[in-house]
Amino acid sequence: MGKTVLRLTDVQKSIGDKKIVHGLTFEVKEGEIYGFLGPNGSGKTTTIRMITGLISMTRGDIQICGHSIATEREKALMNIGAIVENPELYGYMTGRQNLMHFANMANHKVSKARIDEIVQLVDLGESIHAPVKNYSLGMKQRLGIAQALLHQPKVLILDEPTNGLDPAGIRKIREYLRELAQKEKIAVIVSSHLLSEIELMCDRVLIINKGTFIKEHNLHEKQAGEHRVQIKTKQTEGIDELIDCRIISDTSFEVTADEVEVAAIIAKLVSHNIAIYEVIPKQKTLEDEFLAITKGATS
Amino acid sequence: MINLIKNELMKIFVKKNVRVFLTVLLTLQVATAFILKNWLPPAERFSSYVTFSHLNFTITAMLVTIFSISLMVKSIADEFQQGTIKQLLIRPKSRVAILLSKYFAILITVVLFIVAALLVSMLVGGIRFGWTADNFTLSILLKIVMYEFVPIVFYITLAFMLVSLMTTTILPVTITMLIFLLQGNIVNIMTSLLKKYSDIFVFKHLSLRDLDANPLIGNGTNMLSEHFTLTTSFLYVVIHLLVMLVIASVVFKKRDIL
Repeated sequence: MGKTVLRLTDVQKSIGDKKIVHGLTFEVKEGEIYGFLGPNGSGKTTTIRMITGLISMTRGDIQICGHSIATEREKALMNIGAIVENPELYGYMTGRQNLMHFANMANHKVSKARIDEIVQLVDLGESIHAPVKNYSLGMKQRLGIAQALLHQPKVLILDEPTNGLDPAGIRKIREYLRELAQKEKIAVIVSSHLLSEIELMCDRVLIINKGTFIKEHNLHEKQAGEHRVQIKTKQTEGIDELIDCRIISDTSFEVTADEVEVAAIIAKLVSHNIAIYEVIPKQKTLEDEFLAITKGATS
Repeated sequence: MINLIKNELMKIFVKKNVRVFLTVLLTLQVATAFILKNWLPPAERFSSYVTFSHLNFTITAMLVTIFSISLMVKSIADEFQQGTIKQLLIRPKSRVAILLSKYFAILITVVLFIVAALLVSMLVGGIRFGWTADNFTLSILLKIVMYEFVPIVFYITLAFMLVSLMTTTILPVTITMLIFLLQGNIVNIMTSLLKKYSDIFVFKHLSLRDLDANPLIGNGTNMLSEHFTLTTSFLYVVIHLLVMLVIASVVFKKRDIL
């Protein structure tokens, strides 16, 4: 893995007496897509606001490419491109004017060729010359990504980037973010309250709830721990005497076992002349986990 | 900073209402030449393009003040309302520079409005009333214009400070407009209540032209006591401007953008 481009150390935010984010610590490396998952109101956007310097931290530090957002704000922001909440742009200007406007705010000159390249990339075509107020939400989202990428940042932060996009659009953005991460080594941070989206897009995911770190998880690694297999047979009566299992219904039961053990179990069943119809590996999905976490936290 | 000001100017001039205002302002300069000429008794008709431009300028100054107050407030409050303030403030530019670029962009716009209006009214006045000025010369007119910039800048700065503190449109516009429109009454009340101590009130220093030695510029209505000269009075206003700019910048720098 590449070098760390974003590091949060014990970041805390309180407004008045209310703690909104409690001591978050995590790192994001270049070239990875990092998911930021939590139910609505869990402190995702607050954290993103702190990373981008829009609000102050009560405690802790955030470093972007080695520059602290609190003490070296401009150097840190040079390396960030972001959409915070909705892609808010100037409706009375054309897409291109919007891009020119934000290009003017970069620390190095953004060439006209770069702007054309970005427009091509997000596929806005001729609509780039139309006023943004006439754009669909999907087009605004794409223009938002375009303005975030203009100055070639090292870290791209997208808050709910697929909000309001149609399935084709979501897929396109997903592929595009992949490409960005792989080819240009950009670290992409995507927040979402939708697990399925994060699972499809991200390399690693951080789950937070009520401003508290719950779990960080690598989506490429198989879930450690339980390996469960569901087996369907003609009938399950008496099987629990034969092997250690949990009967689900008349025709199916579940065992906790790894690959080798499963093979042994099947051999045993066959030797007892029990017909096996189906063997289904049951992974405890992230979704179960996510639901358990959010349910446990709200009840 | 220059790029930031350019951006702000682009955002000002891309809007229709600014272009409409400029058109109305310039049309007015032409229209007065035809309307007022017939209304006024012959003695008060204009002796030259300078006196004509002077009359026009008093109208222009008022319209530009009112319009620029709302322009100033909207240029900041709209960013908060549309949420674009977030996009602005995640750029590698200091917050103070971003805020002040808006202020300077409005000042530049105001200068543009006034110069354009003056040029048009002089041209129209010259054609209609002749190019030869009497003892009310062009340099006197330009001096008056310079003096009148002081209250315009003051009210823009006041609006700028208020909107930086409140980030909404209605209250800063209302407060600034009220003070601007009631300025004369405020000064009168303060003077009669506090006598000479009312000089600490900055509103009494805004009509600097009253302190000018030339009777054609100052019209003898100086309400300030003797220890204030043109220079000290001007500096007193400048100090107020600086304080307002500092307050706006400090608050804006510390603000949490939600």
